[in-house]
Amino acid sequence: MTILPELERDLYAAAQRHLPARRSIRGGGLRTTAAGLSVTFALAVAVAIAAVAVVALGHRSHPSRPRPTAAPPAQASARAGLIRDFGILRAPARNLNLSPLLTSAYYRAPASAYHPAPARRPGPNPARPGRNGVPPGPNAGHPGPNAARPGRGAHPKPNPARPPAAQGRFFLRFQAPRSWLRRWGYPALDRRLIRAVPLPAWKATVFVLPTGFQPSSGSGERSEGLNLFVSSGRAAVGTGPRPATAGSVLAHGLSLTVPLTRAMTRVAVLVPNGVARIALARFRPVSSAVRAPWFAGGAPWVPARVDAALAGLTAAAQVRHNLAALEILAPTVTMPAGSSTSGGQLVGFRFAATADETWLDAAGHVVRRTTTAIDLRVRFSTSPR
Amino acid sequence: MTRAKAKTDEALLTGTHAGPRGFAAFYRRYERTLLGFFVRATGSPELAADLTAETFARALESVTTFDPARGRADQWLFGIARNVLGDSRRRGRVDAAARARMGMPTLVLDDHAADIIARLGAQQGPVTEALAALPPEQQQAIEARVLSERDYPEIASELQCSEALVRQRVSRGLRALRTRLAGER
Repeated sequence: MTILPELERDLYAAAQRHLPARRSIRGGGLRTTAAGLSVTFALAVAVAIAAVAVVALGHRSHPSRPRPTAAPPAQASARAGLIRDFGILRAPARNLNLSPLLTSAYYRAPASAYHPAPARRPGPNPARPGRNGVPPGPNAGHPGPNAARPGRGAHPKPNPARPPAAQGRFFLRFQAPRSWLRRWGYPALDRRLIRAVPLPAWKATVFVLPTGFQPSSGSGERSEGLNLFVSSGRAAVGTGPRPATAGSVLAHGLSLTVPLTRAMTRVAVLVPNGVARIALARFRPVSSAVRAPWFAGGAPWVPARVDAALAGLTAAAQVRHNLAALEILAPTVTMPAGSSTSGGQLVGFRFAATADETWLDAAGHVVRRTTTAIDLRVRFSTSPR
Repeated sequence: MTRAKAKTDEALLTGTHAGPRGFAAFYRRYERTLLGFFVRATGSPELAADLTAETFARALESVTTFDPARGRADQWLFGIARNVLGDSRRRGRVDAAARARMGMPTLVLDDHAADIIARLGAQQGPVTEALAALPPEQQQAIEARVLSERDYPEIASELQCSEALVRQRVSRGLRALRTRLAGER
C-alpha cells in the first residue's frame, strides 16, 4: 500500500506511454538480430515467389502504368486541421514571428540549428546561428524560403520552384544533450504557421507555435499540436517543447501563466474559433495549505490557509485572435504574527490552483465548461498579535 | 512478496523486468524513503509530495540512461532527488517540468496522506540520530553544506566565522558520523 496511490498510477501511465518505445530499441542484441533475419528471410521468399509467378504467367511490368496517388501526409492534414480550428493561424505572418530570439528562448537553448540538413546556398546568414552553435561558414546552408528568415519579407509566400518539403516546414534542432534528443525525438516548429499577437496592456507578445515532435531512434512517437510562448522585456515563458495536441486544446484550451507582475496573475489562454469570452471562477488550491517560501528566510513557517482568500475570486476576459488575456488579482493570505520575518511585506509567492473555466460565445451562451490549472500568485499579510 | 519485489532495484530499471510494472515496483520500494527525505529537508508534507513526484518523473525520463555499472539504483535515485531539491530551493518553488513533459497531472494531496508524510518526517533513522549526537556547530555546518548544499562562503557568513573553520567543522563532523555509523554496523 503506497501513501500516494495517485502518483503511482500516474507514473505507471507515463511509463506505459514512454517506456515501450524505448525498450524496443533497448531490446537490441539477439532478439533484434533474430527478428531482422526472419523478416529478411520472409521478404526473400516473397520476392522469389513473385518472380516465379511473373515468369510463369508471362507478365511483364508496365513502366508507364500510373502509380496510385500517395495519401496526403499526416502532417499536412494536422496542419489543415489547426488552420481550420484556430483562425489566428490564417492571419498573415509578420517579421516578429521569425525572430531567432523566439526559437532560442522557447527552447531555452541559446544556440539552435536547423534539421534536417538544408539545401546549400552561397553566402553566410548572420541572423541565424550555425549548426551546434558554430557560426555559419561561407557556404552555410539555407533552411527554406526567404520569408522564414528574420529580416526578410513580412509575408511568407510559397515558392513553387522549391520542393514541398522545403517550402513549408522548418525543423529546428536545439542544443540539448544527444541522449535527450534520441530519447524524446526532435522538436520541430512549423515556423511558417507561427503567429504573434501583441498584448499592449501587458507590454508583451503572445506567440502561437504549431509544433511537432519528429520520431528519433529512441522514440517512435510523433506528436503534433500547439504551444504558447509569451515574450516581454521582463519574462519569456512557454509551454513547450512538447506540444498540447489539437484535440486537447479544442477541448480544454491551452493556458500559460505569465510571471509579469507580482500584484496579479496573468494567464494567456488559447481557445478555438467560436469562443468570444472566457470566465474563471471557483478557484481551489491544489494543496489544502501553503507555506511561505523558504527563500524569504523565516523559519519555521506556519501554514496559512488559502481557501478563504480564494473565495469569491473570479476573472473574465474577451477573446481576441483566439487568445484571452486573463488578469487575476493576487489574493491576500493572512499569516499568524511572528511566522514571517518579512513583516508581512512578502509578495510574489505562487502556488498551484485549479479553477472552473467557462467558454462563452458572442451571444453569451455557454460553449464549454472545463477546468484549468493556474500558477496563482498570492500576497501574504501578517495578522496582529 | 511479489515477483517484482524479489528482483533487485537494478533489474527493475534495466533488466528483463523493466517497463511500467518494474518502474511501479521501484516506486513502491522508495516512496516512503523519498517522502521521508524530502519532508525532513523541507518540513512540509505538501512540498515533500511534490518533490517526490518530480523526482520520480525525472527518474522515469532518464531511466534508459541508468547504468548499473556506474552505481546502485538507490544512489542514482537519491542523486536525482538532491538535484530536484537543489533546483527547487534555487527557484523558490517546486519544479514541475519533468511531470509536464511526462504528461502527469498535478498531484492532489489529501489530509490523510499529508499526516502520514508528516509522521515520516518525525521518524529518526540511524543517520539522523548520529547527526543529532554531534556537537551543535558541526551539526549546523553539515546540515548547511551537505544537506542544503549551500556554498562555504555563504555558510561562513551566516555562522559569522571563517570559511576554513566551516570546512573544518564539516570535515570533522563527517568523520565522526562515519566512525559512529561504522561502529553500529
